[in-house]
Amino acid sequence: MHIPDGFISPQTYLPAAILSAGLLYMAYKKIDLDIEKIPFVAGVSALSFVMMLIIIPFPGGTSVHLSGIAIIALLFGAWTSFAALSLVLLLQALLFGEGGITSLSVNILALAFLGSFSATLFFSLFSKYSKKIAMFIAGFASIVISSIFVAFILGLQPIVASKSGSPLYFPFGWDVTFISVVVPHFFLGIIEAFVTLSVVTFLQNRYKDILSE
Amino acid sequence: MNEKSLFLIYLAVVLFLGVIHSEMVMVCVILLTLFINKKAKFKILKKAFLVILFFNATVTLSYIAYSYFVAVADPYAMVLINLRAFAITSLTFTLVHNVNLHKALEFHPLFSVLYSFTFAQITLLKSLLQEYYFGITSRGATLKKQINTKQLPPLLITLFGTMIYKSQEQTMALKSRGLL
Repeated sequence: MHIPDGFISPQTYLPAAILSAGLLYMAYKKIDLDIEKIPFVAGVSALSFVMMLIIIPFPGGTSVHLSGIAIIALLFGAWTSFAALSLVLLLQALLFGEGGITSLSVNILALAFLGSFSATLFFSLFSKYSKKIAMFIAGFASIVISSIFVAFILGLQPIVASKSGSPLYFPFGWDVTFISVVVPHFFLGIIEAFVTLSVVTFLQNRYKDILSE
Repeated sequence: MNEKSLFLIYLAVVLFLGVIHSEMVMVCVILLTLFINKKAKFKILKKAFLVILFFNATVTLSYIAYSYFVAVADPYAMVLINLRAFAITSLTFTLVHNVNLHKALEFHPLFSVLYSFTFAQITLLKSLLQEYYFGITSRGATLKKQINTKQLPPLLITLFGTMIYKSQEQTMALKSRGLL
């Protein structure tokens, strides 16, 4: 879902950069990031980075890698997850070219912010009925809501930045982006929901003491 | 020139490439990265090409197909978009190849420390993951880079446990050196 360089206009990524910088500042204030907390946030970031490298086969010959957004958000809280995933996105952009440096702010808002907060929001909404159902919905929402935002931003590009009708950045409008981005992520969200449910349940049982601290 | 200045120049060039709509400028930047990287030039160009290949090829082919059915203002619009993507990605890899990012990010001490700790933990957890794959492969597992649901719990325990242990150890190390 990471957007590479060259597809997002400055009209979009500059306001997004200001917004994501403000949110990151808030996040570091909220989680009270002092020198004592740095190793922990760095550890969570590394864990989320490595989780994305784990590939799990699924029936029908397909395989999927963990995204870990909802997993990290449900285990450590939305603000910690947002701060950690933002760092992961920066490292991925710089070291591996996964997601561009110009689109980093949009990727941070889509994946780290909306992914983390939608997961915790849906979890808190549904946890009074059933924790397992809430985890499932949180995993699903973290992917689908992020993809809706990505589709919206991509589809916005021909409107905000084109020269005499010719696209300068991403060339397709919302009629194309919503179908091509959101529909595949709807199915991916179901797989992510199952993975989130099993991984979070397992880790919460195994590390009950540490996670309750 | 020091790392911080190079990093700022890189950001300025990236911003410049974002607002310039000239294929010639993009080609010049790509040639500049070739010149800067000398021995590693083909390695970096190949890496940049492979990184953007999937997304850009999908969008480009879709745009070409789309232009057959719907009249578009400029059928060659994707040339500029692809060149811009390639130029910025090549420039990013050039920066990472030539500049010590830890030093480049030193303008903000917290950011620099966070970067170093994260990078150290990623390296550690990545090597653990690789060892895990080697371990299951050497025990006769036929899966190559995938693991099944039965193999997932022990892997997660290893990764999660190592992360917690390492974080506590690093905090203790900072305390013992009087940094806290």
